[in-house]
Amino acid sequence: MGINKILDFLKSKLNIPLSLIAINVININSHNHDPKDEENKTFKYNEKEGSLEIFIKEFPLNVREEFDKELKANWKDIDLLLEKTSYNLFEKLCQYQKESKIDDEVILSAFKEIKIPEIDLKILESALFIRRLAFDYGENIESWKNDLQNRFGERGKNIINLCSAGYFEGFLIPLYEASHDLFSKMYEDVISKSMLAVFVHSIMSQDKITQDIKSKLEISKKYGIKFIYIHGIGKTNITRIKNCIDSNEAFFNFFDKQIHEESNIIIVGLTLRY
Amino acid sequence: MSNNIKITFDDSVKKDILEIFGKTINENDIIVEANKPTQKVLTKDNEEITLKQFAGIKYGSEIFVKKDIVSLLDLSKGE
Repeated sequence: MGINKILDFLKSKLNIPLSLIAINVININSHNHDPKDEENKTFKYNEKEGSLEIFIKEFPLNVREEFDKELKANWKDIDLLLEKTSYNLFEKLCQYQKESKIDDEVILSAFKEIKIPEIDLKILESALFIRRLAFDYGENIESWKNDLQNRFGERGKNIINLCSAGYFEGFLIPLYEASHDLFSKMYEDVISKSMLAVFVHSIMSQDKITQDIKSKLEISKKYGIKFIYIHGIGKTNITRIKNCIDSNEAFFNFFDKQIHEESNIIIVGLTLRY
Repeated sequence: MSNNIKITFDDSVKKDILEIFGKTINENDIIVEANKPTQKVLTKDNEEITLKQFAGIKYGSEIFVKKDIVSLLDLSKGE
């Protein structure tokens, strides 16, 4: 196999002990900033992880040239060459593909049938995976959320927020079942303007929260919808939402309020009284 | 034993990896063919790709992969 050839090449050129057999990953790095000694400057072996880190910018020039050729020559067997953090995510995604995820599949196939835009389906699929990472594995998902927002802008951010809060299965599917026509009219405003919900984040002022509620309700009223939910995660955001309600009594008196607070999550349901 | 060995690379050697595969970046940091810098390298969705966005390469027609969750999700499905 080609990868064996690369490993043999590295062993022969870099003084890597031949006894190293438990290698799962070879990571190509640049400089070794913390070498044990000058002789072993070109590699670092982590027995616990089974990883061999090689520092190609420490290689003698001829070895570097040969290594590049070996890599290219054995490309077919390597098959996939990914940057380390991307590879870690890729592994989780492969695991996700193998897992039983009937709930996610039901949601996805429902929206495929509804024929929402192809790009929304792609974002939704990623959003369902991110939701699983957060809920089932307790992972910090901020960077993945930012990832979707960077690539797909406001639409990406709204889909992931709405998906995390269960709006796709809890609101949009029932809406479609109740009225295809209303769904078609509302879908774009729900997705592009997130009209049903305000998701409070760490740099959102109280004024911005009330402003968002007002502007989103204006859109919702077109469809006869008189409710909106405020979502917040984390102590700071929970406090911010509560302070906002307390200090804007006159504004919030227009609504019937339902407040659900559990561990680090708050959901405030607001329904217009008039 | 070695059949399951994976090869990954650090963010700091992205340019070196590209060079091995005959690519380079232009003045806008977009990945291009080293021997024909006017020809941009495209992802499977025909999108150009910057050095920052570059996540890796898949064997085949040298499929260049973007460093974002949607691209990696497609890759995990074999798409």
